[in-house]
Amino acid sequence: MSREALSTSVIQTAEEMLFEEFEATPVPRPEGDFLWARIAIASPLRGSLVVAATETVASELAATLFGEELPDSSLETDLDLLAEFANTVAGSFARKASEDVPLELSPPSKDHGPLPTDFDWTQCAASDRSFFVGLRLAGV
Amino acid sequence: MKKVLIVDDSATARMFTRRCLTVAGLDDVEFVEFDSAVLAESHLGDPNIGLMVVDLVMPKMSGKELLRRYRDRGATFPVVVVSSAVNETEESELLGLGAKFVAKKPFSPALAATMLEMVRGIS
Repeated sequence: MSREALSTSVIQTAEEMLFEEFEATPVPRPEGDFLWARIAIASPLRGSLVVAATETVASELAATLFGEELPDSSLETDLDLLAEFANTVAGSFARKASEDVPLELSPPSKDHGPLPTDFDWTQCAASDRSFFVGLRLAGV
Repeated sequence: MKKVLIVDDSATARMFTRRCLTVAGLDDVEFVEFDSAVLAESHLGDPNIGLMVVDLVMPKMSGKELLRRYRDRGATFPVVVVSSAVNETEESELLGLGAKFVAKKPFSPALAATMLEMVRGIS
């Protein structure tokens, strides 16, 4: 499974959910504190996928998605958005490995702080904001 | 006014599903959202339900189990399953349980429009 497959899944999901054109670029592990959501993929391939954004960007993405209906609890909403995004990207990406083998994705875990290590990172950017997607595959 | 049930443990997913359905032309309905299948089950007998959109993977009760209970009750309103974790084999199983349409995430207004065309009697 290639990084290109991941980029395709990320861009498709971002553009469908956020109604903007995004570009994906490989980058080193971003430094600093982020909000992030992590999905473990058990089948048809094994690995982990993380979607991360700064608090500012996460809030902007939530405002874009929810508009006037943005809930009051911003941190919970921001993390929920990242988790839903990670879940959708993980499913899209894993499905590229096989359409026939059942997909097994873990429920998302959510946290904030420095990003996990040993992941390959991709920056997904549109206009003046960007977020990050990390991928770690077993056996790679 | 017909009711459209949206069942998903993610607030983001519920919002996005509602937005896609609205953009696709479904605007003269009452959207009723549930963050769990357990809560949604108690409403399956409501005669005013015109459509239910349900996520597959949820804690406590899955969308597939909710679909089984929908079938066991003899409910007839259309059910659409939307999930990131569905493949062709499971799609066949869900259609066999009574789902009218199985959509892979990301949902979109275009996909919602296609789905609404297949689900007749909702407007």
